[in-house]
Amino acid sequence: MNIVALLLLTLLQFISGIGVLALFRLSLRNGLKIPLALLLGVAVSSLVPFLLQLLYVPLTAFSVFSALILTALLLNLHMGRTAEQWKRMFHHIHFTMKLYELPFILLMAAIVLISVWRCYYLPPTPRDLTSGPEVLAAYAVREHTMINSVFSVDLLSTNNPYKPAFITSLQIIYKYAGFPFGQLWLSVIFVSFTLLLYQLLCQSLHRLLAGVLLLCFLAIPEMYAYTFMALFDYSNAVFFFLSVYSLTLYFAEQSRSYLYFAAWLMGIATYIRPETLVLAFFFIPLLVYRQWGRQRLGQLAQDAAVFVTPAVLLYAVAVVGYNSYYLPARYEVSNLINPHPLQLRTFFERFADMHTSLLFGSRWASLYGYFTILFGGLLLAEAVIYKLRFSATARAWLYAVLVIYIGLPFLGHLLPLLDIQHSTKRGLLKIFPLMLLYLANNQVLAKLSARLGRWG
Amino acid sequence: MQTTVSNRRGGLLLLLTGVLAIALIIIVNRSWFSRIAGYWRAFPSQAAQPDLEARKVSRYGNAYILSRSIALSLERAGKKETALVLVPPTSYFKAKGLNYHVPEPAVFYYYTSLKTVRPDTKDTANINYVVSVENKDIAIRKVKDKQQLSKILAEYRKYRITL
Repeated sequence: MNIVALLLLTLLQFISGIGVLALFRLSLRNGLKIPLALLLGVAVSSLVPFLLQLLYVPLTAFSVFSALILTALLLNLHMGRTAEQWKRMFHHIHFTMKLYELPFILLMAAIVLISVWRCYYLPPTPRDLTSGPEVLAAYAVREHTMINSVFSVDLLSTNNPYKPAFITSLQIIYKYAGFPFGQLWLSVIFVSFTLLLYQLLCQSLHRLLAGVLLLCFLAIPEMYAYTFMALFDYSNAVFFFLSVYSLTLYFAEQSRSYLYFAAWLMGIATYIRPETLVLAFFFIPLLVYRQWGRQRLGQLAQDAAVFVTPAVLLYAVAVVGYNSYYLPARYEVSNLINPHPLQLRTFFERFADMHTSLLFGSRWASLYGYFTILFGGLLLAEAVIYKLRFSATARAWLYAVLVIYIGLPFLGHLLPLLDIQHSTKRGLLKIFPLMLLYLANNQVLAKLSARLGRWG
Repeated sequence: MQTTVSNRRGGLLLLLTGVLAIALIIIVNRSWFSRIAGYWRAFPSQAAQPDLEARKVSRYGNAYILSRSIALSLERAGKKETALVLVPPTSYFKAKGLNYHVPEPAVFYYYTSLKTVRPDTKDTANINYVVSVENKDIAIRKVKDKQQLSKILAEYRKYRITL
């Protein structure tokens, strides 16, 4: 019964996701479209209970699932566009696999299955979840509102109930679908994201190298742990990555659909973790640099505004509006901002701490494994062999890596509440998929791919 | 014909390279893979235990078990709905020889539906029950008057409060 509910819910999310792709007029091949549609479906469904709450509609199973069905229908309302998406998808279904991929696929399937099982089986553990979104969702199911009796509890020790409703909404949906611990939305994100990454790696590298890189990526201990410990950071990393990916497509194809899509995805990433808003602004120099010469100043400004607008709007609604006008107790974000942002000493301290405590600290291998060494080694090799002549796409991915590398200590400087041991540690999850896609565009690996290609 | 043989040989070479690469990745990340193997080994016993409550007990341990027992005592007395319980911090229980990681009020409420406060609360006026350790056992007492509560709060505030 639970499996049927999960399949139906996933199908509903998939239909919504296809609707979103049609809305943005994106034409992708199946290998990318299917996992991407699932990810988009989860993002859309995370907005539904939240919007119902904003409209004060009681969050019953009936209202939530009716709204989810209605959303899927509305997103597919433009029959011409969505029919085209569906037609192309069914027209091009083919699946090929080489024998040498099998060991990788079997091992990765085992790793993924363990994560899915633990997500389903174990009750929610992280304190940030049980003292915030999970307790809110548990009582929302009983009391049919997110603004429930949890706010009558002494919340002096936590700010977690005041965080945006991304997880709360998804937990409500999955609890109503028959999963008392919720959480399986994270497995949908994990499985879809892994499939998407494999497809993206296979686009530019030999499948053997794609398997090696993806396996090294899956073996990042901290990253993997958060595929079954439901929290904000893994999902935030996924949607942040998707936004950057769409931005690289915009630079390559100059189609504004990709820019709008990238902007919307950055909005979702901000809805998941509000401080992502600051990181969104870090991409404006890249936008200006890449479009300089192609566009006039006015158009450049317009592109920049388009890119950050959804993030600003979602921040305004999910954080400012929701906290100010809905929640019974107000959570003052302004009090948390560093009153001396121009005194950069704390930024440099944070930057140093990130290296000494996390990246090169005593726990570096148990936190992030050997992936950063792989990235650093191959980056150095390309820089030396190709005399710093990186491809345009590789440069865009490296820029995104730099945004996280500089941006996280900057966020810690701006918002001192974001500590090294929790916020920065988990915030670094965002950097690894970006590193992976840089590696997909690394010329040393491209050359090796060409050689392997001669073998089959 | 020659191309097919060459492709087949190439495919086998790639398969061998892939297996070697996997072995290398496992060796380099052996501590992580041994943890994953532990998760695999735990699967049969977990699958044999589908009961939700047992899963919570196994995952949350004493924090859940003792919190539930406090809530259950008040529920049996018919006082759970109206109770606001002062729970001392983890360090208090440790000093008294009890291994009880006290959940913060929001998590306590999630586990038990019982409203609790920590000694650093601002909401002292509504506290009507107090948890303490007596003879190495957890006891729940009704607050008699403000004077008694102030005394207890002063004592509990000597202990370090952690999450």
